[in-house]
Amino acid sequence: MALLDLKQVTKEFGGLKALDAVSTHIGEGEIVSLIGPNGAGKTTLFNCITGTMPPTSGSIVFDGCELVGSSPHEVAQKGIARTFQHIRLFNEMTVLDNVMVGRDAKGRTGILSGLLRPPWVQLEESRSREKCLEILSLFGERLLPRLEQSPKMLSYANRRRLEIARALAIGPRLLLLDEPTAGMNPHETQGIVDLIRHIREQGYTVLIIEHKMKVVMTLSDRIVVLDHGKTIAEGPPEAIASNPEVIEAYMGGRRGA
Amino acid sequence: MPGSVRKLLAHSPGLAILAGLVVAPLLIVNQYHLQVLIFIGIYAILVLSLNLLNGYVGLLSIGHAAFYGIGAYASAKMMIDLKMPFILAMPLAALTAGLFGYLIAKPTLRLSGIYMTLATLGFNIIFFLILQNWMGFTNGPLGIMDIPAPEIFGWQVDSRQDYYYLILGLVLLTLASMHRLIHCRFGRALKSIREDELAAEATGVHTTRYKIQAFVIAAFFAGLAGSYYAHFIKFISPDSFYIYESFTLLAMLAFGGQGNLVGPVVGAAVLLLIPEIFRFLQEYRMFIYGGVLVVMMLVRRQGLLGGREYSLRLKRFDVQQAQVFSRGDKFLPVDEE
Repeated sequence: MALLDLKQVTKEFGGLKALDAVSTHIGEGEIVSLIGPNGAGKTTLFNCITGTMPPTSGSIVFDGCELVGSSPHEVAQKGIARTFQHIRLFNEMTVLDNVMVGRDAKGRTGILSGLLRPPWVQLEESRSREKCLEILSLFGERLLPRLEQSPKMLSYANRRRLEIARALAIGPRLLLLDEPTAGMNPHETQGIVDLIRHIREQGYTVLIIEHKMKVVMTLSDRIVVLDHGKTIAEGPPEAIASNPEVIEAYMGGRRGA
Repeated sequence: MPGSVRKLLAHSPGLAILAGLVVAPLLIVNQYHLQVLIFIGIYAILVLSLNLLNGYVGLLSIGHAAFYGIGAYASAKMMIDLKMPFILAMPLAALTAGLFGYLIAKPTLRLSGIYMTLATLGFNIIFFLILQNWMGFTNGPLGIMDIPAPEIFGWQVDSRQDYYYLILGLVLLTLASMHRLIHCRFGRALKSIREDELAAEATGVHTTRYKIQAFVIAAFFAGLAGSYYAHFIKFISPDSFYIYESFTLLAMLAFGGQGNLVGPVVGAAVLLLIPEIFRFLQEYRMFIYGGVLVVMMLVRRQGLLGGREYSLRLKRFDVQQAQVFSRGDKFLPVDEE
């Protein structure tokens, strides 16, 4: 059974159909890429899945559980984590705290226990800290030496990495990455590609929005192509690369018009 | 150096300040000076509680004096009408304020930004009107007089000195509570909401619940300050809890700097001291008060101590050597294809 199942997902903004009956599925352990020209509805689809913007109609089933109608934090707690197209970090918090926020839903410390500090609170805190350090160590020496810094001090690529680290801290089963390599140079991009592979090996399922074709082609098990809110093609990278409809959507086929 | 000595040294600046505060009333003979210190204490609690909302969650509440007033009236009514002992009336008054905080927060925190702010303002105005007009319960503009002095397990709080120690204890309680709340899961979640609500929500933080909790805690501590105020002044009237008071609190917070625990206390102290120090200028002293605020906003918008966090331990003697990493952001080898 598919981990994530989208059925006839439609999102309308006034008269504009940003998503028009999109149906697709993502299997456990897959890396699926979502591509399409600008304005195709890729980010809107992410927003619908994560509950940020509920779809107008259709159903989104994650692991046998309907997501439409859930608020974003509920979706996150069910095991879907995301990163944003424009980096959204907690700038006035340290790098470590940014990741620790991801552990929030797993924590039990409330107001009273936070005030009275029974021993288990300290234990929970140090466990969650360890878990976060473990996640940060996925990024080698990129983030570990900068635990107490503000994200503002990090390089662009490191901020992207931190966003991924925060998403991983939730302990998700499905990771939604919105243009993880945007604005990165080739070697940083390669680093992210390796990282995503590494993440998949650890049992996560990944859905990526990506524009860099080299990344998409080398990384994906399957590609879903959106154009004007509709799925125009779906399949393995080789099939997509030679699909005439996709080429038209990207290159434009209006010379004769 | 043995651990205990190190620990003591690390805390020494804080301990010195605390010792100074404990000894202060024995050295200050002038009752008026003590009174000013007591008021600084009351306002420190109020601004600290407001800081939890404005500084940590990023909610702009401009009706905080209402909770201050609820605490004051609840405490006075409980002691006078219900004959409760002070030791029970004070926490119950604070809880009452917290309960009202919940009732306000539950519907209004669904609103965002300016609408929520206006709702708090509206609540403050309504609260004031109720105090003014509900003659039977609040005695209207005449207020409640002859509020009994506190008595705690046989300790009759009577002189200015006694009151000073009581408020010192309450301020320390507030500071310690805020410090613990902020340095755990709860505080981290609050800060994440302030920094980016959408990202916090997507990271699994139940933002609405946290916002309501923060609102209730802020109302609770404001109520605590209100209760103390009622038993200290022994007379309360609606005028003390008008929106003007809310704005004073906001000014103190803006002046001292929000988002840490030192700024609010300093802000409350400085803005209370300015009118007292320049008392010889009579009514013109308010020019200085306003002038200082304007200059502050021009020169240092984040407030005197804003824009960073301060440790309450005032780490001076246990600065740890930062870990040095030899490898930085080295270029990874690029796979040539």
